[in-house]
Amino acid sequence: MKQTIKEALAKGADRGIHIADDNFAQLDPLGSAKSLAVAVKEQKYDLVLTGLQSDDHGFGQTGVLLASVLDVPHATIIMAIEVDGQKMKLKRELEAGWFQHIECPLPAVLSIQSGINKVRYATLKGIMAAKKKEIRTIARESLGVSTELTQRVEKIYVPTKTKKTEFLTGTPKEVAAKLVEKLRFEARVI
Amino acid sequence: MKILVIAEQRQGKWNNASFETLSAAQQIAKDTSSTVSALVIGKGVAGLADELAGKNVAEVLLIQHDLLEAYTPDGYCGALSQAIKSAKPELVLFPHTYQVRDFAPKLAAVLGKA
Repeated sequence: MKQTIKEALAKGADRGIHIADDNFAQLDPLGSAKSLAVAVKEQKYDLVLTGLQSDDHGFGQTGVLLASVLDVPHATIIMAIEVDGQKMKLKRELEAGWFQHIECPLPAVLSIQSGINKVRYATLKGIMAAKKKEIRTIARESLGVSTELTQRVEKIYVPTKTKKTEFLTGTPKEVAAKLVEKLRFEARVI
Repeated sequence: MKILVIAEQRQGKWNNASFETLSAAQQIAKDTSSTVSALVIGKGVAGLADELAGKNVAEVLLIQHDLLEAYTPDGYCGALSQAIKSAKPELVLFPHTYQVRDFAPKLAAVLGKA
């Protein structure tokens, strides 16, 4: 975790805060959001950026819940940000290749879609400078946030792969009709 | 048990996942002897509410307001939290759409159910 923060510092962040708890992986999104909110509130923030979802559980809730706990507006799946005084012009990704352009006041929480920026490499100068930058570690217990879980993961498993071949029989016309039905209602590709 | 399905529409057009959600609710209702209610939210969506009424549901809730014409997370959370508090369902189901992912966590937090 420290390594991730150090990389961010080497790439230009000014300082880092590490909320430490071995049980974070078991924590539900609300628990994470509440912990983050306490640390964020201490800062004089205008804008909080989160990722869209984690690589492990992929709940995609922490950013939205953080905004709710902080009681500030939020927007998700952000593709572009343009700050204009006390408000922002945002580009959001919608379904089926659609985009939405919205305005949002500051302060706010945005969850960012991957690909918004090209990740820059840390320069040697950046890596050297990072060594002098502050990383503050806060134990999560010290934040006074309830550790009671509101949800619990029972099981995680890889979907079982099955192969099934089915022959459609009948006249070409009947087979075509059956095929269309299967493509439409089972495979749902047409 | 009372199950509430929040159907999704944009500019008067259904998101088809709404009906998959409704079907899932009906399946759960069958297994647990529950009732299914459906809700539609927006502006000028009374026609869509009528359509829902023909889908084997116990009741249809309709939320309409000028400010709900275009989706905003805060507008939807405000209106839906009031509706859910008064309808008192035990289970609320949403279609898994980009829009729902944008506001459902906040709605759950507002209702103390995140």
